[in-house]
Amino acid sequence: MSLVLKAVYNALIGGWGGFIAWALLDLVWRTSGAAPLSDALLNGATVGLCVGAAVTSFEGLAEQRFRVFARGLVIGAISGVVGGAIGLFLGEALYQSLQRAVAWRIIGWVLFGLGIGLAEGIASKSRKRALQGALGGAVGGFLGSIAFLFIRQAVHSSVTSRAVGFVLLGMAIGFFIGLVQALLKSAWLKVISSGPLEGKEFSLTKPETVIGRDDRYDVGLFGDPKVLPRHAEIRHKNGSFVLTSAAGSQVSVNDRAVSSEQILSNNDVVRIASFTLLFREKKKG
Amino acid sequence: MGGKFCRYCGLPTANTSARFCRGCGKPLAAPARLQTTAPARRRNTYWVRHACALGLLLGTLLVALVTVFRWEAGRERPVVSAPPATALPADEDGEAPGYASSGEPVISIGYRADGRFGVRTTEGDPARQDDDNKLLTFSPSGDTSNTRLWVDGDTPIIGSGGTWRRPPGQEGERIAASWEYRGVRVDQNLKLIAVATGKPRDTMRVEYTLRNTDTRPHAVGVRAMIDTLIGNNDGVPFVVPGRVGVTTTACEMEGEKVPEFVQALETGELTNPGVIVRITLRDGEKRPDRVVLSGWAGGDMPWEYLAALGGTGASLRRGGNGEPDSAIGIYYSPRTLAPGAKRKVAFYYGLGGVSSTKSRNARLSLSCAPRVREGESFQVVALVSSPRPGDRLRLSPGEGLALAANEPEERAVPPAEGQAFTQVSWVVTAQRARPQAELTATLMPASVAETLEVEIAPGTLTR
Repeated sequence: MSLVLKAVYNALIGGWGGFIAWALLDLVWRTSGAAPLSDALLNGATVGLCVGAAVTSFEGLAEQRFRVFARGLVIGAISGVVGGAIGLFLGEALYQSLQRAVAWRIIGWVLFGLGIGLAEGIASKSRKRALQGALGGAVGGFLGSIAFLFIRQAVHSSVTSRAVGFVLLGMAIGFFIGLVQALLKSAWLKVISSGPLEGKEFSLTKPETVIGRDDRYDVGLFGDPKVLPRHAEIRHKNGSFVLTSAAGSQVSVNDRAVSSEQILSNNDVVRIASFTLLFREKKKG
Repeated sequence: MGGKFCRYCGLPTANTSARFCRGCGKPLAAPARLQTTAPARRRNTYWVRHACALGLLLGTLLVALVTVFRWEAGRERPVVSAPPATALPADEDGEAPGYASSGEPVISIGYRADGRFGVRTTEGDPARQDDDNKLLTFSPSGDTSNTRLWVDGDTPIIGSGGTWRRPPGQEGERIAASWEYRGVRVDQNLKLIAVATGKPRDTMRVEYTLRNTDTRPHAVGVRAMIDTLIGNNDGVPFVVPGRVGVTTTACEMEGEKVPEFVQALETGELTNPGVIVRITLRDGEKRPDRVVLSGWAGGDMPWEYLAALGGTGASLRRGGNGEPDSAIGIYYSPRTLAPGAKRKVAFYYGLGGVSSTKSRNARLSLSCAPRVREGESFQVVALVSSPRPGDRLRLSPGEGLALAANEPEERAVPPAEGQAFTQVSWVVTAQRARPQAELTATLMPASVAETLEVEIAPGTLTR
């Protein structure tokens, strides 16, 4: 799926994460009586856990890549718990100690979203993706917290407003994490051949992006045994993206076999077994 | 096919040898596998697949939220009963509360299937518009309040664990519930009443009847904790007769120090106070054993919670130090009930009033129960806005009223301590029945006077 489509999925998955967090907090654990800082810590950790795990693991789930799913689940959960707990705790502590301005709570949710946004980058071991995720998470946390506070004020119910608020927060964080990645992508591969991966975009955010059948790698091409576990790699060198085929693999660019290395240009078509990928690069400057 | 234009996007090709479109990347001379698949159909399948998945995710999420909303709405059942034409009959114990259940209801009670309840205004005081559709408890259905029963040291929330003998439901003009726990039955009755002749029904009477249905004695008590909200303000100071100045921190009042009522104003303006909540603690001659004003710390707060919130003197904030959020705990301490014995207690929660809304006096306002009984002593509170050092207040009871024994006519006005107003209170005795008796307070040296009218009902043989 395209990165924009992924952002829409992220929004809905994040919304579900927020809903599950609400159910855990208000129906299962029933923590409403805790002191403010403990409450912030617990709310942050729980919402972070659910939204972070949902958003980060979704990609693996959608592509049925168990290892990617499991890695996303664990890293998303940990980042979400840590980021969420620290973010909300800091926000609440600032709110408590500095004139009780609601802006501090919004900052808390921004830090919360930032923590969750980092998770995807950590899971994919991409610094650039982590920064993009953090930015998206922060924007989502900001807008989501405003929606949350508005809903809490507008709907004077202790149940529905909190459920809707958490859902909106999860949706905003999930959506903006995906959207920022879509907007700030500089180079990507798009699967243009038919099949389950058709339309999927792989953002090239790392110095070295590995293409292969093994789901440890960044660009996972599944369903065709002709794709080697580690089939090719794309390196970002001196401002150019260079494709290198692995030993024994067959890769062509614009229907010309790549023997060792090939510099990729915008709109080059890369063929790997039955997969056809379009290389796209934003013009610099 | 494909020599000059891309068959997918229509872009002209740069050179005739190109095999892929530089615009969309699709093959210009498509391989056999691609040629067998209609592109439009493939694109349709792609979008249909994702649209279905997104629709499923969004649809189930909406269904989940609607389910939560309907579940919550199902727990809240506002009372819309028609006003009865007759006065409230005496209670089965022979205790006539002295209030009438005639008149239009201007507040409504919301309640849940587990017995929790909340209150909001519908019309509020008919003479004012600024208290319409305001909350008097944080949750209109009592989600954040609870009532706990004490049975031999166990303190369950009513509705949790025991057995419903009669689940909460409307029964005539009241909301009745009956719940039993370990040989003790508690009947909870909620009813809208008018607190003075000719007034609308602006107050909820909350009554608990505790019965020992067992064959052995039990220590039985009850405690109601209500998450107070005054309109849109969750952090107002309380006006508590008998205390010096308004109450801005947690406090505990026991025995004779339990006030006749507690009152709170939504705003600090005496002429435009917004909604006014009055919690009347006296029911005939009875009062609770203990009353706690404190911060709020959850809908399931335990029997005792003041110490956990920082004890007396702690701020009226959520958890003791969160955002402004107050609660009142009304305790009827455990007493031994013999088999078959019962104990009835009640308090009142509804709209209050201050004289300045009518007189438009911005400096001085008076408040007390609008209807008292001949021979009864009652508390009168004066609210003073922007007090100055050296200010004094004199209370002059009119015909039919007198200051209680040892009550000075004049009292010093305490400082406002950062609040919009401060308070002074007296105890006054109703000597003779009168439809309208007057109390006049004068602020000195400014010579600002304010008058309050009170109805004195005839006494009875037993009172």
